[in-house]
Amino acid sequence: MEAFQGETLLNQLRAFILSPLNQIIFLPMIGMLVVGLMPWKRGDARERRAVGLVALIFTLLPWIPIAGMISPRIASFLAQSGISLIDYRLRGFSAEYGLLENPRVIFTWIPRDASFFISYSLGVDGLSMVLVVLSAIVFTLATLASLQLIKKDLKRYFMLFLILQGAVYGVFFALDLILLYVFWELMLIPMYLLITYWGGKGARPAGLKFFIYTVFASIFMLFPIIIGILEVNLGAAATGYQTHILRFLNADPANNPTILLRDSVRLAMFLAYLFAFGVKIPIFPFHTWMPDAHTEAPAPMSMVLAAVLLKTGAYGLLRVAVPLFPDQMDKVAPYLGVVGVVMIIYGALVAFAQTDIKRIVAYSSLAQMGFITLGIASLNVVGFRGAIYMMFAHGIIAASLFWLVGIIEQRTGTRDIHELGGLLTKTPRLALSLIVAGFAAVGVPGLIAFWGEFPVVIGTFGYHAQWSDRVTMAGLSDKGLYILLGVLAALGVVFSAAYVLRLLLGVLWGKLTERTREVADLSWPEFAAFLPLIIMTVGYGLYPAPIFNLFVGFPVNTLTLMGEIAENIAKFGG
Amino acid sequence: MTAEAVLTVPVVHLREWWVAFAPGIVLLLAVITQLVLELTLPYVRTNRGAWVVPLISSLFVLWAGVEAVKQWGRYPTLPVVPERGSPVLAADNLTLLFVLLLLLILLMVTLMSHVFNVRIRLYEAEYYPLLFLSVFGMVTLAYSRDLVVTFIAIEMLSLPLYVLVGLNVDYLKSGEAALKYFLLGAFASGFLVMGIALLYGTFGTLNYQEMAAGTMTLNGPAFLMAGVALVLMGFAFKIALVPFHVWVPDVYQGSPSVVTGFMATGVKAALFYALISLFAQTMADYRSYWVLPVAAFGALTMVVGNLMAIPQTSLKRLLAYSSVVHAGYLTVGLVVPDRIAWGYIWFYLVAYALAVLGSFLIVSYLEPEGKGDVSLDDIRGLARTNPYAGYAMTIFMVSLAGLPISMGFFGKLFLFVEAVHAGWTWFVVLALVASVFSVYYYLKVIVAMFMDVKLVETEAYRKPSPSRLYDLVYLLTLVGTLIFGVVPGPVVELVREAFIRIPL
Repeated sequence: MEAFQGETLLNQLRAFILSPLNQIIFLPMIGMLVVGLMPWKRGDARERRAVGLVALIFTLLPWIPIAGMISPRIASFLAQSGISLIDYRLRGFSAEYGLLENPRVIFTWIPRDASFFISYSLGVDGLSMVLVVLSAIVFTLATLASLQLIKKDLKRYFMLFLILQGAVYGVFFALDLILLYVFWELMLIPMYLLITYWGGKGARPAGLKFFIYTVFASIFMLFPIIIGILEVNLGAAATGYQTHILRFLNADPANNPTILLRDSVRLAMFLAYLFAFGVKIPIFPFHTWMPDAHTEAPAPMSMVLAAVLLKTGAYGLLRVAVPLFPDQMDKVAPYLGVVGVVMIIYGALVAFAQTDIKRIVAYSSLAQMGFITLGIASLNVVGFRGAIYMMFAHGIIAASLFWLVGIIEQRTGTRDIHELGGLLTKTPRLALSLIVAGFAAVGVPGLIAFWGEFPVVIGTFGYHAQWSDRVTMAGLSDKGLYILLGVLAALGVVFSAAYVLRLLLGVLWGKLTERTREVADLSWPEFAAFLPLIIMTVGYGLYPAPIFNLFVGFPVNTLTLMGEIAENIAKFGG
Repeated sequence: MTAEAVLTVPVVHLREWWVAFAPGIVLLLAVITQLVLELTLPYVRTNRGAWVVPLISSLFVLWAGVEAVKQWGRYPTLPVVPERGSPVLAADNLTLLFVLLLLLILLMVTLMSHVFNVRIRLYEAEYYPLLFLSVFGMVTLAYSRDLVVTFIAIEMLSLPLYVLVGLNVDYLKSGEAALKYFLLGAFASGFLVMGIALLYGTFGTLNYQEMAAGTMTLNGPAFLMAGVALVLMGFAFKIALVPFHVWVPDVYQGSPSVVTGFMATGVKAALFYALISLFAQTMADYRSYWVLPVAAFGALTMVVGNLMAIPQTSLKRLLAYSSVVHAGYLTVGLVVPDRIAWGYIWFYLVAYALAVLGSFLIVSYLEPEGKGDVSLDDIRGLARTNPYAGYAMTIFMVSLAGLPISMGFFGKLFLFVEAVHAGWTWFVVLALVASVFSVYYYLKVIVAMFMDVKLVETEAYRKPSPSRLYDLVYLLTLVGTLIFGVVPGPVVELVREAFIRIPL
C-alpha cells in the first residue's frame, strides 16, 4: 500500500503534481488564488469580465485530466503531443474494476510513529468517475450561469466557488477516511457563505439551517473513524494506513478489523455513517434544511447544491457505509427502502402544493433522491445501477431546472406561479428548455431520468435475500414489502407528472401577466450555453450506454465484496 | 531521602544555575535590560521610539529559545549532581516543548504589543518588564520539580498579571478587572498553599521525585484526598475550570486586549504543564484520587462554558468563554495515563495559542477609540472593509471550532483518539457534542463579518495593517494554523521524539 515510501522528496513531489487526480482537485484551488490576486476596485464590466474569464478557465482546466482518464485515446494523444504534464499511469481508472486493482497515489500524512497512521491517498473507480464527470459538467455550467445571474461582488463569489469545486472533487477521490472528512468539511463553509451572502431574502436562516444540520451530522462521521483507528491499532495488522478505505473494503478479517467487532458496535457505527451521509442526501426526516437552502440560494448555487452536493451523501453511503457493514445494511435496508418511497411520494405531493416555482423544483429533488435511496436499499446489481445512473440524471435535470427557474426569477422578478404565465409563445427557447427538463424530471422514456428510475423499480421488484442472488439477479422477489415498495415507487412517477405539469402549465401556458409581458427570451448565446444540458437530457435518454459503461464494474464488484464480508462476519464476527 | 536532606543542599554555583536554567535566566536578563533602557533613554518612551524595547526584547526571547533548544535531550537538573539532593528544577523534553511554546507566545505578544500600547499609552516603563517577569514565572513553573518552587512560580506569574490587567487606566472596567482578578487570585493561592501543606502531611516531602518514589506513610487517604482537592481548586482557578471560571469573562473583557491574549494562552499552557508534571507524572500511582475530579471539572466546564458562550454579544467575552471551554477539552488529555497524550495536550495548546493570539491581535486593533471592548456589532461587515482581518479571523474561528484544514482539528482528533483508546468514551462523546455546539458561536463571528452591513467605521477598518511587527505576528499565527492544519506530521514527530527517553 505504501507506494511512495522510500522515494526521494523530489520524486514524491513529482508524482504528486503529475497525478491527474491531484490536478483535478488543486487546479480550481489555484484558480481561487489567481482570482484572489486580481484587481477588484469598482466592480465594473471590465473587471467582471476578467474575473469571470479566469474563473471559467480554472473551472475548465480539470476537464483535460478528466478527459484523459476516461478515454485512453485522449490520454495517448496528450502524451504524443508533447504535453507530459499529466502522468496517466497514476490515473488508476478503469471502468470494469473496482478500487482494488488500481495503482494509486499514496503519501504518508501522519507518520507511523504517531498513535495513528494516516495517508493522503486518492483513487477513482466507476462510481467516483461518474460523479466527477457530473460535477465537472455542473461546475462549468454553473460558472456560466453565475456570469449571467450573479451581480454582487463577483470576485469573492468565484473565490469561494473555486474552493468548493476543489473540495467536491476531493470528496469523490479521497481514499482515506480522514481525508474524506477533511474535504467533506471543506465544502461546508464556502457553500454556507455562498448561500447566505448571495442568496435571496430569507437566505440567512436558510444558510444557518443548512450549516448546523450538516456540521452536526458530519461530526457523526468521526465516531466510526475513531473506532476504526483504534481497532486497527489493536488488531492483527500492524502495517499499512489505519484509516485507508481499502483496509476496510476488504473481506480478510486479519486486515479489516470491523469484521471482528461486536454486532452492537457495528450497528452503532453503521447508523452513525448513515446519519452523517443521510443528512446530505437528505433522507426523509432530516430533509428540512434542503428546500429552504435550495430556494434561498442564488440560482447557480442551487444548481450545484442539488446536482452535486446532494450526491456526496449518496456517494458516501455507497463508498463507505453500505459496503463496510453488509450485515447491518441487510437489516436496515427495508426501512431505508420505505424511507426512499416516502421521499418519492411525499416529495411529489409537497411539490404539487407549492406556489413558489423554485420550491417546486426543490421538492422534486427530494422525490428524485428518493429513487436513489430506494435503489441503494434494493441491494442488488440492477438497483445499484439505477441509483448511480439516477445520480447522474438528477444532476443534469436539477441543474437545468434551477438554472431556468433562476432565469425566470431574474427576468420577471417573481417566483410565484400565480403571477407567471404565457411564456410559451413569448419566450419559445426558454419554454423548450423548460419542457425538456420538466419531462425529464417526470421520467418519460427517452429522456435521461427514465434509465435511472426504471432500473431502480426493477431492482426493487427483484430483491433477494441471498448475497449470491443479488449479483446474478436470478428469479423474482420473494419479499412482499419490496413488491409493495416497487409498486409505490412506480406510482410516484404519476405524482411527479402532476407537479411537473402544474409547473409547466402555470409558467408557460395561460395568459400573459403583468410580470411576464415584457420578458425577453434566452438570447442565442444563452441558449447555446444551455444547449449541452438539453442535448445530454435527450441524448443520454436515447443512448445511456456511455454513462452506464463508466461504472459498469462497480455494482458487481461491490456486491460481491459485500457478500464476502457478510460471510466472514457470520463466520468470525463477535 | 528525607526532608532534611533537601534542606541541607549546598550552595549552588552560578555556572550550575546557567546549565540547568538558562532560558529563565535569559528572561531575567531581558527584564534588567528593559528597565535600564526605559529608565535611561527617554526616547524609548515616546510614540516614535516605542518600537525599540519590543524589538530588543524579542531578541532576548529568541536567545532564550536557543538556550532551551540546546537543552533538548540533555535532561538538565538542579542540583546538577544527584548525590546532592533530589532535583528542584529539572527539564525533560516535554518541559522544553512547553517552554518553547511559552517563549513563542511571549515573542508574539511582545511583537503585537507595540502598536496597541502606543494607542492606549501603555508604553510607560512597566509594561514589558512585567510581561517578561510573568513569563519568567511560567518558565520556572515548567522547570519546577518541587511544590515550594511551584507555588512561588505561580505567584511569580500571577503578580505581574494583576498589574497588567489594570494597566488600561482610561477604561473603567480595566481597574475593576484587576481588582477582581487579584482578590479571587489571592483566594485561590490560599487554597493552593493549604493543599500543598496537606500534601506535605501525606508524603512527608515536597519534592516531586521523592513524592513519586515514596509511599504514602504519614497520614491516611482522607488527608491526600483533601490535599488533592485543594490543590486542584487552586489550579482550576488559574486555568478557568467551571465552577472557578466566574472571573474569566469580566477580567478578559476588562484587560487590554493584548494582555487578554497573553493570559488566555500563556497561563493556560504553563498551568496545564504544571498539572501534567504534578498529577499525571508525579502522582501517577494515586490516579484514583485525582482522575475523576479532573474529569468532572472538565465535563462541567465543557457544558457550562458552551452554554454561557452562546448568548454573548461581546467578542472578548465570547473568546473568554471559548477559552473556558478549551480548558475543558484539554482535561480530556490529562486523564489519559499515556504520556503521548500529554504531548498531544501540547499540540492542542499550540493550535489554541496560535488561533487565540491571532484573534486577539485582530481584536486589539479593532477596538474603537476610548473603548476597551469589541462587540459583534463592531465587526459587522469586516470581511468586506478589511478582507485580511476578515479572512484571518475566519481561519482562527475555524481552528478554534476544530473544523478541518486547521491545526485545531488535528489537536482535537489526537486528544480524543487517545482518550477513547484509554477507555474514556463517555468523556469524548461529551466533548464531541460540546464541540458541535461550539461551532454555533464561532459561526456567529464569521456571520457577523461576512453577512452584515457595517454600523460604525473605525480607522482600523480600512487600514490593512498598522505596522510591520503586526504583519509578522499575523503571518506566524495564520501560516502556523494553516500549515500544521494540512501537514501536522512534522509536529507529531517532534512530540514523538520528545518521548524517546524520559527519565524520572
